[in-house]
Amino acid sequence: MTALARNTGRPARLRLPMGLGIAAFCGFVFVAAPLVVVAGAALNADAMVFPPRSLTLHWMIAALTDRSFVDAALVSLAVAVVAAAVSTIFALPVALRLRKASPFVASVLTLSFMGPLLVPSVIFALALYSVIMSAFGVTSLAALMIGHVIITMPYPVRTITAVMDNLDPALEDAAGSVGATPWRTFLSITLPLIKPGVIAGFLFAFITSWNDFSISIFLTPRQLQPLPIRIYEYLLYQYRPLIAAVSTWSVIGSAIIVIVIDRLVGLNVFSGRRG
Amino acid sequence: MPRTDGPGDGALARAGGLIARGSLFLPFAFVALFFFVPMGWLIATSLSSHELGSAPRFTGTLEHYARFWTDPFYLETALWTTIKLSVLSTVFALIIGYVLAYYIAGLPSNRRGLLTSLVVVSLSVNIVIRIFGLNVLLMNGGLVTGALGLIGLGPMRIMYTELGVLIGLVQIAVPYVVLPLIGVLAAIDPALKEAAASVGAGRQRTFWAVTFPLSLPGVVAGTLIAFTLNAAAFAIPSLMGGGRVRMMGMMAYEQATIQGNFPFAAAIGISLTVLSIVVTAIYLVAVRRIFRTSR
Repeated sequence: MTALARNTGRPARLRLPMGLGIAAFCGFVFVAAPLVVVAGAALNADAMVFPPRSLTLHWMIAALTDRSFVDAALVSLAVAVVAAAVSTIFALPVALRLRKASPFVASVLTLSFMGPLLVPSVIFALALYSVIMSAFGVTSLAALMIGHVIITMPYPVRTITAVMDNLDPALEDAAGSVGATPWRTFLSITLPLIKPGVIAGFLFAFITSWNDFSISIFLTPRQLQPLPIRIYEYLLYQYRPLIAAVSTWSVIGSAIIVIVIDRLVGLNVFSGRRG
Repeated sequence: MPRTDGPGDGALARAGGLIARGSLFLPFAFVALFFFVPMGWLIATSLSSHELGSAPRFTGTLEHYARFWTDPFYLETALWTTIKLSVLSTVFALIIGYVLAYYIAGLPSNRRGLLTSLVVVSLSVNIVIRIFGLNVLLMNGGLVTGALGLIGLGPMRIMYTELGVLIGLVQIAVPYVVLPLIGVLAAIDPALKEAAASVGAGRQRTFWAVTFPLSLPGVVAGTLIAFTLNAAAFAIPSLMGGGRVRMMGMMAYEQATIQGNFPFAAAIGISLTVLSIVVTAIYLVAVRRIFRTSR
């Protein structure tokens, strides 16, 4: 912003000014720094410092064979797949109904299914945790998944609603007029047309669940910790390059997911419809 | 959008509505049972009396709210720290995020991909890992404190200070600000900027009169996510604050799980929720008012 301010008074050329390029470069360094540092620390032989003093792949291999981290990653994966699938399936009828709803119904629907965005997730986690503790006395994998469904649901609702806004109702009417049942119309006309929104919603929900920390820290059952919680607990007590290696694998995994999303629906699903 | 009123439409809408209504039952029941009931329960808990070792008993008491909102200790350590850090981090995240988004949106569209994916990858990496990376970078004797020492600013402590927490909050929030802005900025018709330039507006004038107002939906979307995330931040203050920087989300967690005082934790939680909704509402009204009069 300062880069822009400095150019007052000169004739406006619409080319990007040089100061902006430098400022943007610093911004990118800031965004990427933690990821680079973690990868660098993972390649370090003895201690966790950046820049690395000596290079080894020992920790990267050790991370892949550490039972507790592999298990934690599997728990995270299972929770994220289930939560994203359930919240996407739940979001479909909500988005369908939103399209044809009166203003009153629409606001009730929006408040109900977007509500979790208004409440800080730690606070919702505290609420769910205290109900579950009074009802059962322990938390479970099911409770963790339920919490994840609630916090991920706003994303598919939003992405599916967004693609439905651009849907021509005449297409569905045409199917109906040639005798297709509503269910048939939904499966063979509506669903294929809104597929990008469904996929994007699922992926958003997946990433939100995979990364979640504040819901999980309350609801994690003792034996089945998801990866973020496992890493957090490890960091509280130990500080070894192994944790950097685990994190580096996780960063590589995230990068692969991003590439897949880019291939499937394009990255603009992130830029336009998040929020 | 044009709606056809053909003969098939009524029947389809009826049948479609029926399906939609029937299949809405499950999601509604789910949200009611697992979102509204717990939130109601939390409100009830915040109004219950607390005795060590026994379950909260609902008495309609306001003592926990009174305790939080009158004790200078909580007002200063938790409330003020939360407001200060979440507002400051949102402002910094907006500045950094705007520069990045402006730069990316200004590139030819085939070159936007790589930089956008960098931002998306950062967003999709778990918050604990990103904080851990910052931790290695900012710790005593690390790269940053070392460099600061070389230019005569040392010895300076960043980890376990408010500055450290602030850096963490900004780092986590920047991608959430960048992404909605890229779409909005890239969608602005360059002809508008050229028009402003052709009537003699300087670069800065063009930016404030044309680009910034048009990017406002992206600014609002990004800052709202950044603010709500940061106001509720929990992992960042607990990992980067080392117990010295106390924010409300973290305090609610500690009261519930370590002290076992659920009613007080609930009162802090409800206060935080209300605070965050009120700040959001004020912000939205202010944005609407300022930019309606200036256009």
